[in-house]
Amino acid sequence: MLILSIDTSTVAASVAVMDENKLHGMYYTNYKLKHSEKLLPLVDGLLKEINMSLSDMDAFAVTTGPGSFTGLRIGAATIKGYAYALNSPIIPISTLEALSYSQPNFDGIIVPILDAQRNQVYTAEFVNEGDVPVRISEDRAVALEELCRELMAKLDGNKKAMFLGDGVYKFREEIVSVMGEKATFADMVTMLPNAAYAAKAALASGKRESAYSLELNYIRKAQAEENLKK
Amino acid sequence: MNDIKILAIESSCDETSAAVIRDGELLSNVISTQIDIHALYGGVVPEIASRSHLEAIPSVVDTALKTAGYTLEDMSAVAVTRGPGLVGALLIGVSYAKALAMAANKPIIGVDHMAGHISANFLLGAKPPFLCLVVSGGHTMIVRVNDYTDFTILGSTRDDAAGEAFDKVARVMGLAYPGGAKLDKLAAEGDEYSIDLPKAMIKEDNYDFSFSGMKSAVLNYLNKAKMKNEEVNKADLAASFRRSVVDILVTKLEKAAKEEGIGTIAVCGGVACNSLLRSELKKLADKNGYELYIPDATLCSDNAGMIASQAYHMYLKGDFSDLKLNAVPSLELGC
Repeated sequence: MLILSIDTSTVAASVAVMDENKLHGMYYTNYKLKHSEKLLPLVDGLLKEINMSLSDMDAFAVTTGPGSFTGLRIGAATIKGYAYALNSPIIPISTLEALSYSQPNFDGIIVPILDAQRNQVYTAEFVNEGDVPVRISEDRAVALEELCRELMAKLDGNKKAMFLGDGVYKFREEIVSVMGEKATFADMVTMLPNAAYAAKAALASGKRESAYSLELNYIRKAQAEENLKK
Repeated sequence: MNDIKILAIESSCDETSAAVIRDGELLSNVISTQIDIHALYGGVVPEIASRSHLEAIPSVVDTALKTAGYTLEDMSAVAVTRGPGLVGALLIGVSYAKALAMAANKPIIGVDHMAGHISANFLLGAKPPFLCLVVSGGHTMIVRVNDYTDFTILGSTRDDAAGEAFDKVARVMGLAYPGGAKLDKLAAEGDEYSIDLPKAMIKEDNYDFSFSGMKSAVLNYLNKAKMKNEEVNKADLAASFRRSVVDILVTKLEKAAKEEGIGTIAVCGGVACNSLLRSELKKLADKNGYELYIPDATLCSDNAGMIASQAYHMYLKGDFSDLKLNAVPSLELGC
C-alpha cells in the first residue's frame, strides 16, 4: 500500500511517501512556520523528485491532533482536497502515536508531550511490544506536574520515561526536577513529529476515513465554547 | 475564449461556499452558513469558524459541482478567496483549493474578496466603467471599476465600516446577532426623522466616510434617556440611524458619479441588503437617469458565486497563482 503522509501539527512541516518495503522519500522543514505557503510546494517537490504523482497513492495519511489548531487544519484541509479529488481513503493518525513510532528500541514508557499552553501538555503513553508501540492511555490535556507524578508511580524498577515532542523544549527542566534520572529525552532528530513516522503508523492502522468524514482531535474546545459553559 | 469552467471557493468569514461558473454565467452557488452557531456568542468566533469550514468544505464543493453538472476534472481552473478575512478561516479554503488544483492538475486563481463583491455586478451584466458603492461589515468605499479586474478606490471609511456601525448600534439597542438585518426590519416601523443624528462628513469635499461618531451619538442618546428615566422608542431610533447612514452613502455616491462623469452605478456587500439603501439608490438612479445594478441578497452576502465571477475575468487575463498561494487577512483592493 503506497501512502503519502503529511504532518503540520507543530512548527515543523513534513511530507513522506512510503509503502511496506520502503520509505521512498521525505521532505522536512523546521524553519519559520508558514505551513500554508510551504506545504504544497513540499509535496510537489517530493513527488517530482521520486517520479510519482498523487494519483499513484493508495491512501493519504495525516496527523489529526493534538497539536497547533491552525497547523492541523492546514494539513487536514490539504489531505481532504487530495482525497476528494482522487476519491481516495484517508488514514487518520494521532500526532502522539506518530511520535511514539520514533522510539522502537526503548524499553520503558514513551511519553510524547505537545505544548498545550496554560502549563498543560497534550499527551498519551505508549510501550513497545515487539517492534510496535502500544497505547496504554488515551490522548488528553494534563498539567505537566500531574503527569510527572503519575509516571513516577507507574515506573517499576529501573524503567524510564522517554519524553519527546515540542513540550520538551518548554518543560525539560521541570521534568528533570520532578523525575530526575527517571526521565530521558529523545534526540533532536526525533524530537518533533514527522510524516515518515506518521506513514509507518498509518501502514499499521485499520482506520479509514474520507474527505467528508475526517475529523480532527483538538482535545480542547474553542475558548469561547469553554467560556460559554461556565 | 469559450467553455471556460471555474470552481470557486469562499471561506473568509462565517459562510462556507462553492460555486461553478461557465463563460461568465453562474451555474451553481452553494452556501453553508454558520450564523446559527455564532449567534450563541453574539458574533463570529474565529476558532469555531475555522473548525466549521474544515468540516463543511468537501460536501459544499461536491454539491456545487454536482448542481452545475460537472466534475472537478471538467474544470479549467480552481479559484479561492485569498483575503481579506479571518486568517484561520481563509486558510481552509486556500489549502483545500490548492490541494484540489494540484491533484487535478488545474491552475489556481487567488481572488480578492472585495473584488469578488464588486464582481457580483458582472453577473447582472454590469459593464465597466462604473461606480460601485462597496458596503459590508468590514468595508465602506466608493470604487471606480475601470475594467473587470482594475479598480480605483475613490474614497473609504476612516474608522468603522457601515455594516460594523449597523451591527454595533443594533447591539447597544439589544437586538440579537446578526443585528444589522434586524435593525433594518425594526426601522420600517419607526419615524426616520424623529431623532436628530449627525450625518458625519456628508458635506465634505471628498468621498470618505466616518461612522464611529454616529455610533457614539446613538450611545449618548440612549444614556441620556436612561438618566432621565425616559422610554426610548427603538423603532424611531433605528429608523433615524438608518436614514442618516443611507443619506451619507447615497449623497457621496451621487457626488462621485457627477464628478467622475459616470452614468452607471452599482452596489455590493452585505449592507447592500439594507432595504432603505436599495430604495434610495433606485430613486437616485431614476432622478439622474443612471443605469443601476443591485445584486440580490444572496449575491450581496459572502458567497463563492461572486468569487467565481472575478476569477473568470482573471482567467481571461491569465492572472494565475501557484502552489505557494497564501491567505492574506488584511489584503487591500488592488494590491
